[in-house]
Amino acid sequence: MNNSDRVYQELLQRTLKQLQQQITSLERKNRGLRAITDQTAVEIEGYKTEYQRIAQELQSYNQRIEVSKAGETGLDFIDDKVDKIIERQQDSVDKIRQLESLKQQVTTKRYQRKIDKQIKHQQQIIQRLQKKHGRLNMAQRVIMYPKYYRTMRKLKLLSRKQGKVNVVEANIKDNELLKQTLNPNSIIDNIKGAFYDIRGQYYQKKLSHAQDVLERVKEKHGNIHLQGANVTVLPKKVVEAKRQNMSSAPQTTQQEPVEQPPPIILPGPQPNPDAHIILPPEDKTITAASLAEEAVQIKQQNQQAMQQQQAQEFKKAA
Amino acid sequence: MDDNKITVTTPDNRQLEVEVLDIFNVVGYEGKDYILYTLGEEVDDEHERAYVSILEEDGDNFSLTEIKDTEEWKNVQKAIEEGIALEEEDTDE
Repeated sequence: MNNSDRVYQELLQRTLKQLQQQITSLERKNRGLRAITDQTAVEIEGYKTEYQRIAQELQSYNQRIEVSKAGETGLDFIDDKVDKIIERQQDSVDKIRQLESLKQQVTTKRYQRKIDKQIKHQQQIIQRLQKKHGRLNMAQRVIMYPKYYRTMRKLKLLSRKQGKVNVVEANIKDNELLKQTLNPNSIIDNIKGAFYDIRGQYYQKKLSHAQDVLERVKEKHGNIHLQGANVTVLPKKVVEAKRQNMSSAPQTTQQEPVEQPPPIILPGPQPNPDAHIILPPEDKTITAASLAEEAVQIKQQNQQAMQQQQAQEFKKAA
Repeated sequence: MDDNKITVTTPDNRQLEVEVLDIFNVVGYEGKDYILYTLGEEVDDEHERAYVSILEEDGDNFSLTEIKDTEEWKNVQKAIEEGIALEEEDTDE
C-alpha cells in the first residue's frame, strides 16, 4: 500500500469514527427527547381527563341554570315566598324572645301559663313555616333539575308497579300450589298413601302382638299343654310368608334349602300318582291324642322307609 | 330351638315340636288368642296341613285347646282367609 492510500484510509477511518460518535450522540439526544415526549403524553392524557371532568361539570351546571322562562318565573315566585317565610319565622322568633322576657317579669302562675301558651303557639307557627320552606325548596329543585326529578319519579312509579307485580306473582304461585294440592290425582294419591300407612300400621300392630305372645309362650317352655286343635289346609307360600313374618330375626333373601323329609313309602300297593288327592274336610276336628298318635305314626313310617332303603342299598353292595 | 318353634306336651306326656305361624285375634272374640301352627305335614305339592287352637294362659301354664263352637270356628277360618287374601294383595302390589 502506498502512502496516499494509507492516508486516505486513515482519513476514512477518522470520518467513520466521527460519524459513529455523532450517531451515538444523536441517539442519546433522541432517547432523551423520547422520554420527554412520553412524559408529555402522560401529562396530556391527564389534562384531557381533567378537561373532560370539568366539561361535564360545566355541562351539568349549564343544565342546572338552563331553566326555561316559565321555570325562571316559577323560581322567582318561590324565592319571594321563601323570603316571606323567613321573615315570618324571624317575627315569631322575636315574639318568643319578648314573651320569655315578659314571663320572667310576671309573678303569678296564671299569667305564666298564658305566656307559655302563646310561646307554644309561636313555636307551632315556626314549625309550620319550616315545613312550608321544605316544600318550596323541593319545588325549586324540581324546577332546577327537572331531568333528575323526572327520573326519580319514574323510578318511584316503577318500584310501586314492581311491588304490585310481586304481589300478583306471589298470588299466582299460591294458586298454582293450591291447584296442585286440589288436583284429583294428587288427592287420590294422598288418600292412597294414608290408607296404606294405616294398613301398614295395622299389620305391624298385629305382628307385634303375635311376636309378644310367642315370646311369652316360649318362656313357659315345658308348661305348654296341647289339649286339642282344629285342622286346616294352607297353601305352602302362605305358610312360608307367615313363617317369615313370625321370625324375630330378619330373613335373608337366600335361605338354606329346607330339608324335605324322605317320601313315606307305605308297605303294600303304591297309590296311583295321577289319582286326584282328596283333601280332608276343613271342618274336621281331632283331639290332641289323635294328633300326637298321627305324628308318632308318621315318624315310625319314615324310620321304616329309611331302614328299607338302607337294606336295599346293602343288598346291592353285597 | 328355632325362633318360631315351641315344644308342647300332649295329654299322654309326649313332647311334640310345632312351628308357630301366627297368633291372632278375631273380631267378636276379643280377649282370645288363636294360635296357628304346623307340624310340617305336606298335603300335596302346594298345600300344607296346619292346626288352629285357642291359646289360653293360666298362671305359669299355656294350653292349646280346640275350637268347639261351630260359629266360632267359621269366624276363625274367615279371619285366616281374609289374612291370606290381604297378604296376597300386598304381594301383588
